[in-house]
Amino acid sequence: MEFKDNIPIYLQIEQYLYRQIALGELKAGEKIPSVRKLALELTVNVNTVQRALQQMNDKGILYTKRGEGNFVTENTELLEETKQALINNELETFVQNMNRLGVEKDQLIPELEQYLNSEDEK
Amino acid sequence: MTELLTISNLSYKKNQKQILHDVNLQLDSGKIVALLGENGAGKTTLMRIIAGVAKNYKGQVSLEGEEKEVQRKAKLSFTDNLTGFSDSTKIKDVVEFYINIFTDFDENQFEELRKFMKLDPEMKLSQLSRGMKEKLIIALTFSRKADLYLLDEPFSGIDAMARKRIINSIILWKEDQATILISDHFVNEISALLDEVVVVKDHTILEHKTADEIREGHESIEEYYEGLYADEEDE
Amino acid sequence: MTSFGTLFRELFKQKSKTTYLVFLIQLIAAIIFVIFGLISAGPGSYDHAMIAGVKVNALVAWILSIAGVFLGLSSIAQPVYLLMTSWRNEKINRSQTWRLVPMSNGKIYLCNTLSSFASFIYLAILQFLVALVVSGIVYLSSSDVRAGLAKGFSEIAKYHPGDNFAWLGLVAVFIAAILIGLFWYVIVSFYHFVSRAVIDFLPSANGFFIFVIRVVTLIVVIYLLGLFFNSLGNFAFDFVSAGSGNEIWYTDLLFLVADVLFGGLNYLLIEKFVEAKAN
Repeated sequence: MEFKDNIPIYLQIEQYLYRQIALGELKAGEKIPSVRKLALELTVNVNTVQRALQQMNDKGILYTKRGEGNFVTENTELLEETKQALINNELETFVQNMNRLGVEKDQLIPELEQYLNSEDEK
Repeated sequence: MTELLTISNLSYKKNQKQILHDVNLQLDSGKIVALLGENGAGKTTLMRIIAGVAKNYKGQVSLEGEEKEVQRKAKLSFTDNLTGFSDSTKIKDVVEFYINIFTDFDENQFEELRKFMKLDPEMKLSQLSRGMKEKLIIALTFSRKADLYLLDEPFSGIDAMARKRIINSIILWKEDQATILISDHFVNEISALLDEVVVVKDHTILEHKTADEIREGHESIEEYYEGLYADEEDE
Repeated sequence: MTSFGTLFRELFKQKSKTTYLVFLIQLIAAIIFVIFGLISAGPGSYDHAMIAGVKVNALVAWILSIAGVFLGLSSIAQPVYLLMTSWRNEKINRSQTWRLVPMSNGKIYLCNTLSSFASFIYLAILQFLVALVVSGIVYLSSSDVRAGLAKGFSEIAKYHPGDNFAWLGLVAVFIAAILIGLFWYVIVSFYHFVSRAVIDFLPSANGFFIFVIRVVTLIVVIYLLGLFFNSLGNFAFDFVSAGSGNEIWYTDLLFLVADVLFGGLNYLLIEKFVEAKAN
């Protein structure tokens, strides 16, 4: 996994784990890999992983079982919210990019519909 | 976080040339810190002073409150280029030296690191490539149970695979409370690993920031580091 | 912290490899010389070898000649070994690998010097053992030799009745040899440390200038030595009355002071000024 060097890495690790959860790679109630394993997998500092996990703990996405590690919350509502946040994120990027290409807000939906239809015809 | 290394008002001259001037630095335990600066900026000298092998400096260096060189040497592990051994020395003989001399040397840990680095104990120092020698040095340095590890340019002149191995060994074997200071004149290869960055320029420590502080300003560590040296490139 | 004994053992272990090497070369050289001698003298040259007026067999004579040449070569091997080890000694004194050992720099210096000296003594002991073993072989080789030797000794005793062998004098000579041998290492380090401290202090110089500094330091060190031995020599000479047969004790005293004084200076120099070489 490649990180952008101009955004705090712990934030990127958080995003990475959210994505894993949203994609179902990590399921509700499942134990996530150990800090050191994650650090090695992502080639980052253990402290950085810890900071990311701490933030996720604070938000309630993860919970810690003493001596066992970190687990994904079973609160489906929270997981839905997280997924929604990811979707919003993607949409925000999409809208911004379209804007730069001169596609105004009211033009977005027709453009998208046209594109989806043409995709279906293929 | 507890205070590990404190350097205050450190100055060092050699051959009547100022090499370090009014250096102040404080490192906490449990961090991975880069010591960045151009070649000849004084990074190696600073490490040598911390390690107690460079003499005649002014100012204080204390490691866990100990200012005596002997105490510092016992608490830190410094990458040594093994120049004290003849070229025909085998790796296993170098290891024996470390086992005998350093009471905190963990033989089992070395075995694990040696296997991880794929080093053959029967090989002679003269047979090692640059990358292999660097891997051996790192394995030896990390096999000591120290509070502070000083890695002097561990990535210079080695290939990507060796670098990856060394970085992974840092992640895998670093004890939580130990601090690692890595000097380099190039930051990209280790930037994802860093907690803090210390930049040496004009014979002193120009800045000391956390990696997150730098990135929160939407700057990469490389941009930040190059920015500090930018004025020189204009000349 | 590393103990003095641990470092000493490690240093001695490495240095004794050189001891064995020199010993082996000395032995091989002796054998080669004797073989050459045998070839040039022609066959049967040992047929009439005599010891203490008694004929011995050719093998014993052969072993004896090797031992003789071997011991003769000691006078070359020992100075060569002294030079080799003091070179090694100074390399270790400035080696970062050794200076990183958790021990004070002064102690590392002492440990290094003493282990070099111990390895030198070790060489002398090995050489002495050769003499001892060969004497044993000759002694056991035939009863005639034993009888001849006994006769020889009793004759010596007859000529010097009541003259006790001067054991005390022998001890004094032995101590002098040790102190002078040690002084060699101490003075080489002193020269090395002083010149290094000066080179590091003065503005960086090119090769020629460094050479000049080295020569000047050498002259100064020799001058200092002259000064030391002159002034202290006169003092000590008054102290131990001359001509009383105690001159050797006076030498002992002189070199003891020299070893302690210059060794102490070295200790200070390496603690305060002499850095490990950057590697």
